Parts: sequence; C-alpha cells; structure tokens
Amino acid sequence: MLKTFFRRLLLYVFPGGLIFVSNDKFAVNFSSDSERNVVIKLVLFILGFAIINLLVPILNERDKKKVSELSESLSKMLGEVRKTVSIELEKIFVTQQLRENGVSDLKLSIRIFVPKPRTIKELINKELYFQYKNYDNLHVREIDELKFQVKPNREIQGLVGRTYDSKTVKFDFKLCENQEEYNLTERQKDIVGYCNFAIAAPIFKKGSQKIIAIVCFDSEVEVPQPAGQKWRDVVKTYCKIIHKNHALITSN
Amino acid sequence: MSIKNFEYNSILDFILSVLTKNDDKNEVKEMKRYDTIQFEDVNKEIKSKKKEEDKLAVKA
Repeated sequence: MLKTFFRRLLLYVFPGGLIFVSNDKFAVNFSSDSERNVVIKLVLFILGFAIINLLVPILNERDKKKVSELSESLSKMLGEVRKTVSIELEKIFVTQQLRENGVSDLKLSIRIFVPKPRTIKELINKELYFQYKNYDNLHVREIDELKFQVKPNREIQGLVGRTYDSKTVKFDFKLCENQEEYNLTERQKDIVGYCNFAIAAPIFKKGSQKIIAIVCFDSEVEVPQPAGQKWRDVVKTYCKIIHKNHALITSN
Repeated sequence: MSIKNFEYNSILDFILSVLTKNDDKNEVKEMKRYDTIQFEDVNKEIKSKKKEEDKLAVKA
C-alpha cells in the first residue's frame, strides 16, 4: 500500500514539477541558447500537461476497472463460501426429525449490512443506520432495500441494532414470535417477516472496537435452537473471512 | 554499492518491512477476537425480560 502511495505521489508531483520548471519565471536555464531554452521548456510543459491530463486519468480508469473486477470475484468467492457454510449449518440445523417432515434445504441467506452515510439531520441527532449491501451470490431470497437504526441505543432496531450495541453475536431462533420486541417499522416487518431465525455477527475495524459491518445469517426455515459449539465455529470462521476482505466489502 | 546498483524498490521494501513488522502478530490478535466473541440468545433475553415484567405486574 505504501509503495502504491509513493508511486501515486510521484505521478502527481513529477508532472507538477515539469510544468513548474517550464514556467518563464523559473530562473534556471536549460541551455545557453535562448531559443533552445524555450523549446526545452515547451517540451517539459507538454510532457507535464500530458501526464496530468492523459496518463493520470488512464491509470485511474485502470484502477477503477481492477477494483470492480476484484469486487466481482470477491462476490463470487463469498458465494462459494456461502455454499460451504450453508452445507455445514444444514448438517447441524436440519435435524433428523425435520428431514422426516420433508425439510432438506436450510435456504440460508447471508446478508451484509454496512454503515449508511449520514445526513446532516442524522449527524445532529447522533443517529446511525446500517444498510443492506446486496451481493448476488450470497442469498437465496431477494429482499428490498433495508436499513436498521443502530444509534442512539434507546432507538435501536432489529437484531442488527442489538448486535451493534452489544458488540457480540446475537441470535434468535424464534424471530417470528419475537418480532414485536425489535422496534421495527411496518415496512421492516414486511421485509424481514419471512425470517424464522437469524444470527447477526459484528465485523470490527482492524485494531479497533469500531464495527464496520454486520453479517446476518437468516432463513425462512423453522429450526430448533441447536446445541453445541460447532455452528458457532462456522459463524466465527465466516466472520474471519469477511474481516480479511472488509476493505472491498465495505467500499462503495 | 555503486549508484548503478541503487534500487528504488529495495528501499521501499525495506521501509515496508519495518512498517509492517507487527502485521503478522496483529493478524493473529485480530482473528483471536472472533474466536473469543460472545454469543447471546435474544429469545432468552426477551423471555427473562417478560418474566421480570410479569413479576413486577403481580407485585403492583
């Protein structure tokens, strides 16, 4: 990263320097011949101008393309990991009894919530919302735009708000029954009404306690709360993967 | 070392290695944070809150 920074700095400073020295007011002469001096300064000016107006935008576009390609492959990679997580959780959550009742697929969706840029009104009221960031390969059920209030703590909404407030993993396997307890609006209830269980985990900023994303695992399938540690380990592992890739996940 | 052998990249690599010396250690620390994270059952919290409220209601 530092290497890129120095290269980028050089890319901006160098053409700026060229244009600066090509200025007539610049005292240094490149040649004793005044005509030759003018030509050299003109060449330096054109070179500096070309770097700033052609090379820099081209490199910026190339970087943008690279980021979008990376985002796409990240989305695909996360989707593949989702399949593995889904299979692992299915083994734990879908019990023999459920299988006998015809439930074979957990229909697990993974949703990532990131901080919504604050409006002036929200800044004044010290409000913060986390909004749903859609990744095509992460869910089996599409949902509309969705956001939950996470600040101030007396107005928090949903499992996302509770997770943000406690900085722990929050889960509810009786989500439908408890819907009234989550301080949700009618619209939010309509969108998340299908969920029978959900697990929400915080993703922390590197070296800080600040939460930069919240990962939610949810499903419409009604499953009993599983015993044991294994499902918790699966959730933790997925959080670690998200944490390692958070720069791309939380970028817009 | 002659000036011809001066390598811009090796200087940068050196600066980077000094600056990122603790990165591996930090990475392990970061991952440990998720290993020790608490899991909390909201259904349980809601039920115990309701019980408390019922108790208070009976007392009142």
